[in-house]
Amino acid sequence: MSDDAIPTDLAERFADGITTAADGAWEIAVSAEQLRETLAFLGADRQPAFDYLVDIFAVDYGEQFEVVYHLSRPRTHEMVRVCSRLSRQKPSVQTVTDIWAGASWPEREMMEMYGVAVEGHPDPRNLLLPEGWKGYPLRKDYEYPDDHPWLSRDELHDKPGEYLKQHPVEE
Amino acid sequence: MSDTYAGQTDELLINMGPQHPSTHGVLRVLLRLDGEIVLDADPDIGYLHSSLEKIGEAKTWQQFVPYTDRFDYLSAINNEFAFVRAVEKLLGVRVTERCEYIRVIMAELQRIASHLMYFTSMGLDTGAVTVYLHCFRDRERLIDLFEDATGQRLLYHYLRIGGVRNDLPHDFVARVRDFIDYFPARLQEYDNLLTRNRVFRGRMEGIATISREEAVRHGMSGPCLRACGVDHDLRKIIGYSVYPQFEFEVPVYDTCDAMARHLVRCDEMVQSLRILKQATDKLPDGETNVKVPRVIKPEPGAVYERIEGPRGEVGCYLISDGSDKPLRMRWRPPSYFNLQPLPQLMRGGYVADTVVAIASLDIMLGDIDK
Amino acid sequence: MDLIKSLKSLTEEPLRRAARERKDSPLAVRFISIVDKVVNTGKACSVWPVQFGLACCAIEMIATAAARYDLDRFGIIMRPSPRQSDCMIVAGTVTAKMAPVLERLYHQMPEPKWVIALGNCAVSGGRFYQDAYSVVKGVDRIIPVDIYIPGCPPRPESLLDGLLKLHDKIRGESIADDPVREGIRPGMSGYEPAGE
Repeated sequence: MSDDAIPTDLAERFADGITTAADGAWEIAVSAEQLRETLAFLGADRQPAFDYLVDIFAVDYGEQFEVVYHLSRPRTHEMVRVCSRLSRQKPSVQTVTDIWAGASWPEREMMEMYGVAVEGHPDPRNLLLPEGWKGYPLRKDYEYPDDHPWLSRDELHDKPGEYLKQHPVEE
Repeated sequence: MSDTYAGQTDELLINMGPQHPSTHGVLRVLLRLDGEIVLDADPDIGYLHSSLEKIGEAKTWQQFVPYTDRFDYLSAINNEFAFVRAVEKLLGVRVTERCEYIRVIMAELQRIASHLMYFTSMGLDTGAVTVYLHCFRDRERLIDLFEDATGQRLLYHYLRIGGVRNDLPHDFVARVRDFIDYFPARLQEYDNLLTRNRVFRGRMEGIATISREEAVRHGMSGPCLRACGVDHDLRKIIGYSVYPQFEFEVPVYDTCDAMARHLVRCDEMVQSLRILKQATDKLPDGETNVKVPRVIKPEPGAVYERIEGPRGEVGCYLISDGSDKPLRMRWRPPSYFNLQPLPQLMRGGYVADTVVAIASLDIMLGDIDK
Repeated sequence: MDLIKSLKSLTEEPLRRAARERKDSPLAVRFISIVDKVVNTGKACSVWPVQFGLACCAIEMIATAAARYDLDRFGIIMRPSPRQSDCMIVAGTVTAKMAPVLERLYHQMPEPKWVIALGNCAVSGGRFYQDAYSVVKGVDRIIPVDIYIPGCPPRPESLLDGLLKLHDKIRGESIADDPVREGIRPGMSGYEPAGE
């Protein structure tokens, strides 16, 4: 990643909010309210814009969620990481599919895996999970569906020591 | 009767997949057709979703390395490369020069093997069934090399945190050199079979186009982006590992269609041979592994590592909270972003071009569905 | 349809009934064994699997069908449609979203049919057993399986070995067996012989 100094326009706009992370990316921590505005600036208004969408995903930190956007410019190794902490109770962001068309799928994935609501998304269906899946799998408090006939894990395989204690093998 | 129905056509909704005779995997595309013309396409993925990101939070750092193999199972070494480099960055570990060279040699051999598989599926999808047998003859040669070095044919678990599993066999370099001498004639053969074939060109030229701006905004990478005139290759731009020490070119075409993507991959194989020749000539002696603690507990922090795989930019974002398991393992698959603009590629084309569109993107469902 | 059914009832049913009832008569045994040999050789020497490659094991399946470990010499031709095949090689991970599709494809295959579970993921869920919330722990939770081939991925030689074992299994069948009900065959768990 880039070991260059932070560009002047970003340094002016974000002042202390932008730092250079350990892997060389420029990390911008913003609040949930400023998120959409920041992304619109980086992806559309700024010249040259960070028009290459690298990734969008969420992280579960226990008390809070964090939404992370990785942006870059083609032919360069500059990378911007925009992070924003959201409350766990009603996490919600606004869509950026109008800025980067490739945001559609990562946002759908975020919605189904973490339950982060994405307002204004043109197509809020489940992406990877089957329709009607209960629960948000990537949250830390997700309960494994052990009552499902296909997905349940056998006691014998999951905890072999305990099973064998209860059902000892006869010699 | 004919007057009543004159000019009226109905739209047809056809389901393509998830089981269909193509090697890309379990992809389902819902096509809306007007006769033979595709009005809209809606890809439906998730039929191979194996919850690998959840597993990434439940396994230790070393335990997860073989899982990374299986994301993009045709370019296993490149996947391991991204993950292992990310963990090494978190630990602050620098591997030896010999290890870097071995990793690059394996990665480039894997790139050639992956592109040979692309040739196979491209040939099968456009109807050129013979290419499959030719490509697998050469792929088996490469797999023999891998098997002697790593012990496995397909999913190697060879790159480890801090080095590689074992040093190369004593005759490995000689056999790679044999392969470098043998392969250009084969490339000529594939050229004659496919690239210069008039029927193939007719099926590929001008098909499945996407504009440069759209490709960038979608996050497409790899040969798909380089076929749109953007010379974005992370091996040159970031210059990770020891790639800056090698001279090679990045093939770029700018017709943005399926034929351009095909030509980019053909030329990439030639460039991979160049890198292999230089790497085997300059391979230094020395240790391959550095000492890494048995229980890895990196300092809290986050790192995003990007490398150039055969399909595009492979990324691995790891967050450590100081324990022996990752807090978050996020995989950035190249095929995921390459597949998103599929509706744009298919719209306005014929039904027969849908298969060409999917095949030219060279997607890998294990990557997409994680 | 009726004509075919009535023809069948005239020829096939009595033959099978006779084979079952007079199994101990040497002439019947001789007759049955000759017919079995011919029929089973036909079935075994042209097993046509439906292409059901899901994940990494599919690549090994393709490699087995390629020139080095040729499958065509055993009469095995990969078919794209389940309606034209008599074997399903489930190669790869079966997920919760794919499971209904798998079941539907299995039902679309005509009898006689066999299923081979190729690779650890199809056998038992494999490396996904512990923590994967969306992976079916073994394809035999959905459809009955005849041959299990472990490995991750199994070598082409393993797949060939499994297919040859399937040949042995096919050659062990007999027209004197109880009639086949959908999916459940003699020798499998869940099999109950037809009432006396």
